[in-house]
Amino acid sequence: MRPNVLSALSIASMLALAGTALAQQPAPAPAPGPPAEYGAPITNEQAKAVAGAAFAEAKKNNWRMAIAIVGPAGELVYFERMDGTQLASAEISQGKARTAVLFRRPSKAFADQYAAGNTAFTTFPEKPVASEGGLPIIVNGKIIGAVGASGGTGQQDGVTAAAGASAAK
Amino acid sequence: MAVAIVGPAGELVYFEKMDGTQLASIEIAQGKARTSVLFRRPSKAFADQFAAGNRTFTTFPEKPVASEGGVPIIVDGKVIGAIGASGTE
Repeated sequence: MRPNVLSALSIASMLALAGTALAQQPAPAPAPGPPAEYGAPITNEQAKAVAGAAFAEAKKNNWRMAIAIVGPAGELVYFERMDGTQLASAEISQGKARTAVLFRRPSKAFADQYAAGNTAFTTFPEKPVASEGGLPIIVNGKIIGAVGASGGTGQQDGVTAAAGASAAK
Repeated sequence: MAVAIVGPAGELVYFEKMDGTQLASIEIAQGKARTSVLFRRPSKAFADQFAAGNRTFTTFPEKPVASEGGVPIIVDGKVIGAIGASGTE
């Protein structure tokens, strides 16, 4: 019987040690929360408020920008281009907005993945535009659309889009 | 209604969609504007040709939208762009 008691004790101590060891491991990073749900499509009035704020930011900085605003299914709701904006930005701004809403994340996420060498997303049927400047528009916790800005550097486009997205009510 | 405005090369300059507009009109409005400026005529010209049985334009690389609602914008005798509207039944 004694050996069994000993082994029972040693098992218990091993378990205790193992428990201590587990407790000492760094806690895993909290899982990212689920993305916001889609809401009712952004209205014409909301889209104009977003565009107005985005263009105000662009003008303040003397940047020439194209701004596209899409609804939850990527459908174009509003587009405007400042005089003198490079023509490629008409399509790029729409692509950034579409990317942001269909994947429910900033288009910069794809730029970061691309830079890290993770380029498999280029095979998706819906091709993300891997460039900063597309942001979801979230109102009352719901994604009602997205805004895309193009015309400056990626960072400038990001600042312009953020000014627009944060103006949504 | 969805309304699209393009420049002389067909490039999108402005677009706006009223709440509740059928989603197909987003592309159709842009197509009508593009048709009008690239062919320098109202998109209705292609609707009329289509109705008359003259449909070879459907083989063009740039496919005209054969439907009324696209019109060139002319200022001081120059085509500076076009406007396309779509949305009503």
